[in-house]
Amino acid sequence: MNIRKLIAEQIVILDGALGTEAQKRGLPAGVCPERWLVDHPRLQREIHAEYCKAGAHAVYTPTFGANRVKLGHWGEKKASRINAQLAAASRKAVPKGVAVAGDIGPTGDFVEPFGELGFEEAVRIFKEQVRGLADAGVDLCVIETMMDIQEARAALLAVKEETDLFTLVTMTFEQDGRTLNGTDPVSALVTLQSLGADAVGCNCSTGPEDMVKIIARMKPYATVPLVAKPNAGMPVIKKGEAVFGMTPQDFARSGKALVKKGVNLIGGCCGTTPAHIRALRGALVRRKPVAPVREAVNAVSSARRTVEFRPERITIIGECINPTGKKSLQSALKKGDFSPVRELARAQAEAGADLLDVNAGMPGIDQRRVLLRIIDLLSVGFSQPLSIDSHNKEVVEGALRKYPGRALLNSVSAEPNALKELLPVAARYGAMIIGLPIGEKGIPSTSRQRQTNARKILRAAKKYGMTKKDILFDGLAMAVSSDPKSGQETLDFLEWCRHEFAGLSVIGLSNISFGLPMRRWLNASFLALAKARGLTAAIANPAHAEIRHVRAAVDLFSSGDMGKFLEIGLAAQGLETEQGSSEETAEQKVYRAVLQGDRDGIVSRIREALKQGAVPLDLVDRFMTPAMNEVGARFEKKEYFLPQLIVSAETMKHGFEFLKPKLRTERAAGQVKTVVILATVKGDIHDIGKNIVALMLQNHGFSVVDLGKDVSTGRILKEIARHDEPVVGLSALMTTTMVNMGEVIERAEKEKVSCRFVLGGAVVTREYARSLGAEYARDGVEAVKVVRRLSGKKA
Amino acid sequence: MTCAGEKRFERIPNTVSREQIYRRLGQTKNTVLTAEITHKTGQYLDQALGIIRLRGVYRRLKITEKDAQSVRLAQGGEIRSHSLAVFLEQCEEVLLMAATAGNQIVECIQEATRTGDLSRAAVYDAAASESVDTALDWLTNYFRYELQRENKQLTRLRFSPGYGDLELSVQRMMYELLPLSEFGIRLTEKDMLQPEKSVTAVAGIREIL
Repeated sequence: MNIRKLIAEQIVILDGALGTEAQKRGLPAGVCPERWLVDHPRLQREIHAEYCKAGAHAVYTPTFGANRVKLGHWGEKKASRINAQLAAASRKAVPKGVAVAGDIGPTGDFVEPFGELGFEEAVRIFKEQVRGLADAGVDLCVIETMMDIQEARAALLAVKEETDLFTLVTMTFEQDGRTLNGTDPVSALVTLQSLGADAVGCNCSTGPEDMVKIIARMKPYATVPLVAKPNAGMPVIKKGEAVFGMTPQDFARSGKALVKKGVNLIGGCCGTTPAHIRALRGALVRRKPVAPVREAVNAVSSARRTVEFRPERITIIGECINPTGKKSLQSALKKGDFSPVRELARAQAEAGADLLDVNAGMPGIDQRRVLLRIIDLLSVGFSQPLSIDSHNKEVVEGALRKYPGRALLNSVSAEPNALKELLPVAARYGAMIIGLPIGEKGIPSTSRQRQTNARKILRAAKKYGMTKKDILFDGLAMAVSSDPKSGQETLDFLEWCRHEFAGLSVIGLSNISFGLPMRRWLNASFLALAKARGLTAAIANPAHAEIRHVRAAVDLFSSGDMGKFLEIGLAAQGLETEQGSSEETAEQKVYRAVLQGDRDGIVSRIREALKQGAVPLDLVDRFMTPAMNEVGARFEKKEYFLPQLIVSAETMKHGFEFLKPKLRTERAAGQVKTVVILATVKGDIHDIGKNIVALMLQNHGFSVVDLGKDVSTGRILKEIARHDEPVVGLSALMTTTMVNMGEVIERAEKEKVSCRFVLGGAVVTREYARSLGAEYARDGVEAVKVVRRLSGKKA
Repeated sequence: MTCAGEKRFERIPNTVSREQIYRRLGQTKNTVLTAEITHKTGQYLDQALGIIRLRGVYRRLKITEKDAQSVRLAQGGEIRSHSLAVFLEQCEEVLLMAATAGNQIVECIQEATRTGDLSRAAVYDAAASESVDTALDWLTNYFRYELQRENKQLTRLRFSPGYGDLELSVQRMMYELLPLSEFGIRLTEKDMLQPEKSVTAVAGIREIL
């Protein structure tokens, strides 16, 4: 059967669930399903026959769990052989014209960098399975129910490296539209189709309705046919029992919606039966398939995000993870310390980098090993796709093979060796590349010569199946300090690339200003000029505000993205307004420091106020305490959230501590502070809330005795006895430890200890506190109010 | 060495959303954030997410006996809880599970508290709590796929010791059955798990008819 031809002509019907059909025919619980079917070939034949009769164009071999890892749980060892036996039985069972799809499911283990299973080991495991399936003569391979994109990649590479078979890959998505490991449908598609999958889609997951949304998201990026194999809805409880609720007719109706959104191959997963497939076939028999809409996709992906290079935007590739000229990074990498890499990635990601460039080119390290470690680290911790910055074939091959997405290779020049060595590697792993128009004679000085080299790169790339959309052509921004005309040549190249050549372009932005003052402004200005001439992407430091702001402005003018601009613009404006007006008095600045939580600035603000004649007590009573009260009010109105409350409280505390020696002389000698004893009760070790309450009370002038967490009743009572009518604050997080509050209160009553109790904590309620004759405080702000009331102070 | 029906995960992806953590910290649509606090909280959050290491384990056990007040499990465990017994009425098996955010984040929270940096401690604490809950969600979702192939289903809800009428002492039984001592988790005399940001839970397994 010619599967490609069939897909082009009609909607291809796949089979439905096999496991449940086998259970109906006697597959018992607690046995290896694959071994059981090897021993019961007649039943396997029956199931396939039913699906063929129902109208399936292809049936899956019952080899979903026939990999070494899963078979190993049952004590089975010969994965290849079992696959060959089951696939041969499938082959025998189906009539001519029905394809046999060799089914490959997950191992159940996650593949590095997301799990413990080594990537190459995963490839080897799948190869054993593929060899068995191929030996038995399957027509195509199916990799299904994948939740780890890296495992899907390993399986796909295994098939591609062992056979030339047409390969479908389907992932399984949660209701939030991502796989369990966080991969979204578009990233899965971009990664897998670029790596060589012949069709991509989803199976199992949820019911067909949710799958419609997944297919709708994939279709605009698909260069390959799309597949859907949904469950018969989600299990629902009917008369106290769980059942798959979708009838064959409903299932077929949903199938139409999936086809409308662009599905080319469709079947059923859990809960579906031959009746569902028959209904599906009936409903879709005359439907015309929607062919893939794109020939190529100018996008890169990580495991959790896709970035498309769009002409109306500037895509920023963060340049900072590069040891060149960075002594501290070099020294850290030599010691195997990767924390600076994480920090650089975080800073760039926070500043809006779309991609992160990674370079480990420095002497004294194993470049390949270090780069792979960096890739693992960033693939797990960050969603930005990576740009692999190396010209070393071994390093590039290792990185592209391991990277769990579609990477950008930075870069391939027009030199014959580079084209010969790097292009096939990039093509094998489906990477996009930066085409560096540098030839054998070095860096061309004119735009025209660069154009010739760009064409040469494209010609060579096409030989490996790549397209113009797979390449970003580098405008070669050079230092204008050594050649003032070089900027113009770069701009001319960018214009040619965009408007005549219809290609995508990139520049290494910071080169332009090398050796000159005001570098950031030069870079930002050149970025704006380059964009006007057609630039697609820039390798730059997004943490520089000038770059960020120019980019936001350019994006606004060229794409009208007002939302994004306002987000950046208002944050920048906010920073300016937070500086305050110049007409503020020194005391007002102290007030604002507490209100805005300026921990580092409060002491200098107070010093300034004192220098201008402010009275310490006055500062506290008229400015700092009212500011803290305002913070409390904003917290209660939910205008402030917890970190704001705490930072303001910490600011107040810093200020208070600085003023303390001066306040002692001013406060009335006889003034006695109310003592508040705080404790998290016995058995409970969760005390963050209690600590916040302590900070708030201290700021409001109460004398706090914090006994800590997991405090016994005896210890609390002993402390109460040491003070004159203290207020006692008790906290608990769990229902099981909450009861210990009652024990404390009961014993206090019994021993006639004089005090008042305030209770709080996640599970404690006002009613519960009242039932124990105690007060309740929901949070630090309310605790201050309650303690003030109890101690007779004004709230 | 793992027990029958047990599976361990040394690296659970942290799919916690920042919104979830901000919500736990009290953010609502009324909250007005300054650029400074946004930056600082974001920085603490990034640090926390870099430190948290989510790991988890589950074990599937048959229910051997149940009545209105208790559920007995294969391997000798017994859970006394009326609400759990009602909840597991239609179930033949249970899934015991545990997840931890690791030692390092707890040490960092303690250090931040000790040095008076409570805002950092609060953000780390919220990030760890939400992350470990997300890890349990991840474990149950993973297990759902395993079950679906058997035409079985995991209950949507799960119960944790220390909440409702499920006594904290159940933690000891779960600790031994999972077994968490081999997973680097300790149990205090008062049945608390250490590292502190660790949770256990139980859910039911039922057939789909």
